[in-house]
Amino acid sequence: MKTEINKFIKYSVGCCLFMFSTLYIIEGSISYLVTKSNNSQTGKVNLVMSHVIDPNVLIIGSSVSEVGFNIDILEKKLRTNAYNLAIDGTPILKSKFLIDEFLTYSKNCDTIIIGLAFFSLCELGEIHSPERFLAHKSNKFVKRNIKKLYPKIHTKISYIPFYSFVLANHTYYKNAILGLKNILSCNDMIKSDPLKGFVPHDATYLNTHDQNNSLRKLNFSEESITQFKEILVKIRNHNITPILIITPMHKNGQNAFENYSDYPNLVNRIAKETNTQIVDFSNSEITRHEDYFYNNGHLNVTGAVKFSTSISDSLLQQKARTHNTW
Amino acid sequence: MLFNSIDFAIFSPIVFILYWFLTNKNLRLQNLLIVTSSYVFYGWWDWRFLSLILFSTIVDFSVGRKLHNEENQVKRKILLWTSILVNLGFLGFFKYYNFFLDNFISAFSFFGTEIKANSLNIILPVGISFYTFQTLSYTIDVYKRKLEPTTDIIAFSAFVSFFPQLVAGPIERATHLLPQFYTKRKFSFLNIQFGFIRILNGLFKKVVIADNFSNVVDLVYNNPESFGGIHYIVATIFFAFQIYCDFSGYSDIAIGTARIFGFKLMENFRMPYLSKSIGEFWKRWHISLSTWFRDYVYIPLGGNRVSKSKTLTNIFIVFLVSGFWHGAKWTFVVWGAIHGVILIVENLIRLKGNIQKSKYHRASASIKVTLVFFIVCFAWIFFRSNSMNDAAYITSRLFDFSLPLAKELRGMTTYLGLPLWKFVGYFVLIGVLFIQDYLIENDKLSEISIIRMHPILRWSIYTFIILTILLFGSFDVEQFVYFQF
Repeated sequence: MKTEINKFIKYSVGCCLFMFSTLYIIEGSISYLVTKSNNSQTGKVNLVMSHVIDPNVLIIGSSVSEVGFNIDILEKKLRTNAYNLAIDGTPILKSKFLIDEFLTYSKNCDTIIIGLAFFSLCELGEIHSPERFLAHKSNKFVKRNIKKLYPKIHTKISYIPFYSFVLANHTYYKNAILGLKNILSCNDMIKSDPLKGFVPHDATYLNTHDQNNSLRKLNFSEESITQFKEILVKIRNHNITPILIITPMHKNGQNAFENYSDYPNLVNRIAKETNTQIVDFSNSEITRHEDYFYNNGHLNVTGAVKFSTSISDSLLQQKARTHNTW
Repeated sequence: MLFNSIDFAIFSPIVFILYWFLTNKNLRLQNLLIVTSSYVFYGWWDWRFLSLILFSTIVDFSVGRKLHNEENQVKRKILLWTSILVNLGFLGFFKYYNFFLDNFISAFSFFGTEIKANSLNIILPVGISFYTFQTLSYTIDVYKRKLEPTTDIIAFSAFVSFFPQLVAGPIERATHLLPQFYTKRKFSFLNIQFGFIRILNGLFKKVVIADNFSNVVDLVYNNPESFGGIHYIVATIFFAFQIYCDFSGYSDIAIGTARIFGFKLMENFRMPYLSKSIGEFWKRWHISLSTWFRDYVYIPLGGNRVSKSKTLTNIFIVFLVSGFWHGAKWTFVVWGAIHGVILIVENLIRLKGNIQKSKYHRASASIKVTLVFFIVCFAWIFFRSNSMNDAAYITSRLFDFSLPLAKELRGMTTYLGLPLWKFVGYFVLIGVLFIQDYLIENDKLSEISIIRMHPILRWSIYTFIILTILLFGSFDVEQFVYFQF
């Protein structure tokens, strides 16, 4: 019995050490390679986490902003340099860690444009595409963000060994391969994206709202609103001007909600309360043209040109009024 | 508590430590620990159903004792039927009450009589079909004087509720498992390694193969109108491997866990899809159930010691009952009936699994294996379909290939909702499974062969399997398929 127990302890310890160290090395190596990827959304997260981008104007938001803010037009019109850091499927609160990290190192940024969509201040749903920030799970802002929004996931990431393997999907491993390619070819992470985070979508309009379906309701979350206000204060504390943009949504899309009008009213109220500049496109001419959209919520290439030109003009007018400098 | 849950990952090491390092000096204490932990394990689902196990345990223990002392044949029969009625009564009420009620109502309305009766909202206790059969085997064996009844209520309770095999088998015989509770178990590193390898293999089958395949199978079978022949064929093949890996994976984990605690459970699967006849398939698939039906239904009915026509009728009855055991739905009955009919046909044409070696042996065997596989798959259509209407719909359109396999979804070509790499990957998994089964069948791969390897090589294999489970496993599916039975 004693010999058997000794054998069991000896081999179990050896086996566990071997397994844990091998899996740890594999997990760490993959994670490192992912941080070197400049592909799509993960690439954007990496740019901030590795302190590579520091534009004068930073755009944050979700996919609506990602396809809507044409950086080339903004830069030419505003005579400044900008970067579109908007991440698909991610309301601002889900990617708060990006702003937190950006604020720790930015020296050049003077304006952060926050592109808001109708769901930005609603209750936050389930965790979305965790593979985009999984490689940075040890970053304190990422940790804090996950802990606040998804405490269960935070517990699992923190206490279940190698849980990131479970959480990651094939995109994560694809990014690891792309990261390896970048390392081998010594690619410059930022130069490889001439559109600077803007993702144009060349497609014609498709009305995705079924008239027969009942109207949906926007449920705004008090907690999301409070957190959002805190972000605005934090940005301002770093001597950066936050500007809120209510991005355009096609009228057909707006009509799919019974209380869409509550959304621009709410954002305008927040802007007033926090003394933040705002440009409201919820009722602009753009929202009535099918030519500008590829679905009810997202602008196509033509719409992005129109929107970016309009927004630049509005910002220039506001600048003239407030004597701001870019 | 599920084997593939965090709860079990915490529960089992605690029981392991208490079992081997705290209660190992006293056999009764060790058995008591098994009973307690088994009740915790079962109560994790719903503690109320513990009363069923407790009641069943007390009834069968008492009946067993009385059967031993009773010489009067009539009284012995009454005792046996008491046990059978109590056990089957629970099973009948929880599993079949609504089925019979609905069918009675339908039958009467067919003849123009409307009956009003409300069906009950009954929750099926997990594993009731398994432990009921296990305790029945005890009473029947004692009745037949094949087994001395136990005087140790703790050992008997441990036999009824032994947590590794409580909810989905293998359905152990009292003659095999009960004596193991009387014998002192020795801590053996070899057993622990054996158990660990079996558990890893079971987890791989369950989490990587079964749970991934279930997403595709559910997609097609829950909405058959949206799909065509090619989808039904692929989904059914996937289901064949889903249910095999789900159930044999569970059995592997059960056997492995029991071995770690020093118990040997019977094998439940032996590469069923390598069978050359349906008869052989049933010697390889859910062995503990098919042998149970053989010993406690087929043989008492007369088995093959009666006329040919009676033997064939007995076969059909056994498969009908076996189908019904799986669930209170006509789809399961039809599934059992298909197997019964094929087995009768096999008996009539004397198709034997093990044919004489000839130069065409390999080719002939491959054709038979393929043929048997497709017959089994055809029967699986009924097993998996949500209703008889769905099963009829699928079988009638099985060879309607008007809808292509690939579908455009948001600019991406998908195959049953999967990207090409994943779809092909699933067939690679089936290939891996076949290779594994082939190697085991030909004694080229076993737990012992892995245990004999150099530690570094062995640990590398463990690490590789764990990494594969973590990378490719699906952790969304909660239940094992056979829990519903």
